Amino acid sequence: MSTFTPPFNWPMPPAIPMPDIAGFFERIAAMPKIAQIAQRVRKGATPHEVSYRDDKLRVLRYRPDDPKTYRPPLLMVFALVNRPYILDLLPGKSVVSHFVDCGFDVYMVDWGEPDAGDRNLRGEDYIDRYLHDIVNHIREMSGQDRISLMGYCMGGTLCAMYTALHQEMIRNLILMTAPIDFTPQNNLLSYWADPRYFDVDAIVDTFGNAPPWLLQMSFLLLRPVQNLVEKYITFYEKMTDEKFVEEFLAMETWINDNIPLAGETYREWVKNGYHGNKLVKGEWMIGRRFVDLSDITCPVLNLMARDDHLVPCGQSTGFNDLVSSADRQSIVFPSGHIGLAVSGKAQRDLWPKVCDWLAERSEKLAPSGRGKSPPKNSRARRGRSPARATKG
Amino acid sequence: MSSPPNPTASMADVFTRFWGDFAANMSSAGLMPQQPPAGGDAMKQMQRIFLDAMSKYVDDMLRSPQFLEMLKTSMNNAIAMKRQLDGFLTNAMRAAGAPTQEDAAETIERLNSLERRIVDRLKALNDRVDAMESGGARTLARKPAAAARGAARRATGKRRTKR
Repeated sequence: MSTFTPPFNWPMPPAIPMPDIAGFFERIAAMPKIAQIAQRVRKGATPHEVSYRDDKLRVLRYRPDDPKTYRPPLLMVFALVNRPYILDLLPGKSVVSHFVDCGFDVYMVDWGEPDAGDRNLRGEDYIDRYLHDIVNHIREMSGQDRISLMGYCMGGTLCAMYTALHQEMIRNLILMTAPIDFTPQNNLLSYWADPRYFDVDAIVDTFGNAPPWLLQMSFLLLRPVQNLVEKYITFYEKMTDEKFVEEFLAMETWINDNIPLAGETYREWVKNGYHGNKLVKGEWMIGRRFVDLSDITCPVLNLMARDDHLVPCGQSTGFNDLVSSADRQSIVFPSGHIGLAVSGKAQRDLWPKVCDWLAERSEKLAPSGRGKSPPKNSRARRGRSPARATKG
Repeated sequence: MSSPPNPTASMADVFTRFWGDFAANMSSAGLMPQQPPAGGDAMKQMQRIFLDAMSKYVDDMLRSPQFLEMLKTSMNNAIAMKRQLDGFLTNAMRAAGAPTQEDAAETIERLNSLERRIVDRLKALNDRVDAMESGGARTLARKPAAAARGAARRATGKRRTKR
C-alpha cells in the first residue's frame, strides 16, 4: 500500500472539536433554576439591626444579642461609591461574619444614596460630622472610650483621615486597599483623571452629584475584557453549578448597585487626591485642620491586594511610613480589589489572620460578655454634636 | 479637478487599519502558533491566549492619547447635552410658573447653611456645658456676670466702687 506524502510540510490545523450539544441543552435546562436562585439573592447575609440613623446613613449592628468576647467594638466603613454589603455578601463570603464569630461587636456604616440635596456634602461633612457622630454613638452604646476602625477603599482613606484628626477615639486601625498616595502608578484611573482630559469641575457643576453611570462605566472599563467578555464565558461554562451561580448573581447584584457620589466630595477627591496628592503632603484640609497622618499612633494593619487594578499596591504601601504608630504591619495578599473581601482564598487564609491581629490588640472580656457601664461623667458625650440623629 | 474626499472610504480605512493593527498584535502575542498546541484542551488554551492578548491590547488602547481625547470629547458632549436639557426644562418650568431646579438647589443650600450654623452654635453650647460640668463653672459663671455689671454701669454712668 503506498502512502501519500505531501509535497511540502504544511502545519496541520487542530482537529475541529465536536460541539458540546448535550452540554448546551443541560444549560438550557438549568435556566429555570438560575431564575429561582436570582430571586433568592439578598443584600447582606449576617443578621443585623439598625443601631443609628442620620440623614440618609444607617449604622448596622451585627448580632447584638450574641455574647461578646472582645472589646472595643469594630466599625467598618466602606467607600461612598458602592453599597457596603460586599463585606457581607453571602454566608461563607462575609468579612463581617468572621469578626462576629470571633466575638467582636461589629458595626457597619451604610452611607445611603445621596440625592440632589446632598450635592454640597464635602469630606468634612463625612468625617467631622457623620463619622464623628457615629463613633460617639458607638462609644456611648459600648461604654468604651475608643473603638477599632476598619475602612475599605475610599472608606479606608476616610478612616485614616478621621484617625489622624481624632486619634483619641480610635484604638486600632485596619485599612483595606485604601488609596493614600495618589502618585500615578501606571494604573488606568491615573491616566483618566489627568486634568488635561478630565474636567471634574464641569462634571460636578453640570450633574451635581457624580452620576452612577459615570462611576459604573469607569469601573467596567478598567478591565473591559474580563468584565464584558470573559465573565460571561465563564458563566456559560459553569451555569449548571448552583453554588457558582449563587455567587455570580450576588456579585452581579452588587456590581450593578451603583450609587451617585456627592458632588463636592467627588470634586474634592479628584482635586486633592488624583490631581494634588495632598494627603501624603499634609495639605488636605478637613474643616479648619490639615490632616497629618503622622498624628496616627494606634496599631495599624494595612491590607493590600497584589493584583489590584483599581488601587494598586503603590497607592497604599507608603501609609505605614507616614504614621507614627510603633505597631504597624502590612499584608499584601494575592487577590484583586474585591477578591480581598470575597474570594475563597481570602476567606480561608486572610481574614482569620486579621481577626487574630485584632484580637491580640483588644481586651478579652469575662465569659459573661458584659462590659463596663457608661461612666457617670459626660465622657461619652464629649465632642458629640447635638442630637439631630435618632437611634434605631 | 480633484474629487471630494469620500467619507465612506475614510471610515473603511480607519476600520481596516484598526483590525489590521489588532490582528498584528494578536499574532505577535502568539495567537497563531506554527504548531497546534498538544493536549485535549487545545481550544481552551487558544481561548486563553486570545483573551489575554485582547486584554493587553485593549489596556494599551485605553491609555493612548487617542482614547483619552475620545473620552474627553464624549464627556463634553454628555455635559453639553445635559446643559441643553436643563436649560429646556428650566425655561419650561419658568413659563409654567413652577419652581425650577435652580430654585430648589438654592433653597436646599440655604437650608443646609442654616443647619450648619445651628449645629455649630449648639456644639459650642455643648462644649461650654461640658467645660462647666468638668469644673470650670466658677470661671465661666463669673465672666458673663461681670460683663453684665459692666454694661449696667456704662448705661447708668455710675463709676465702679471698690469693695
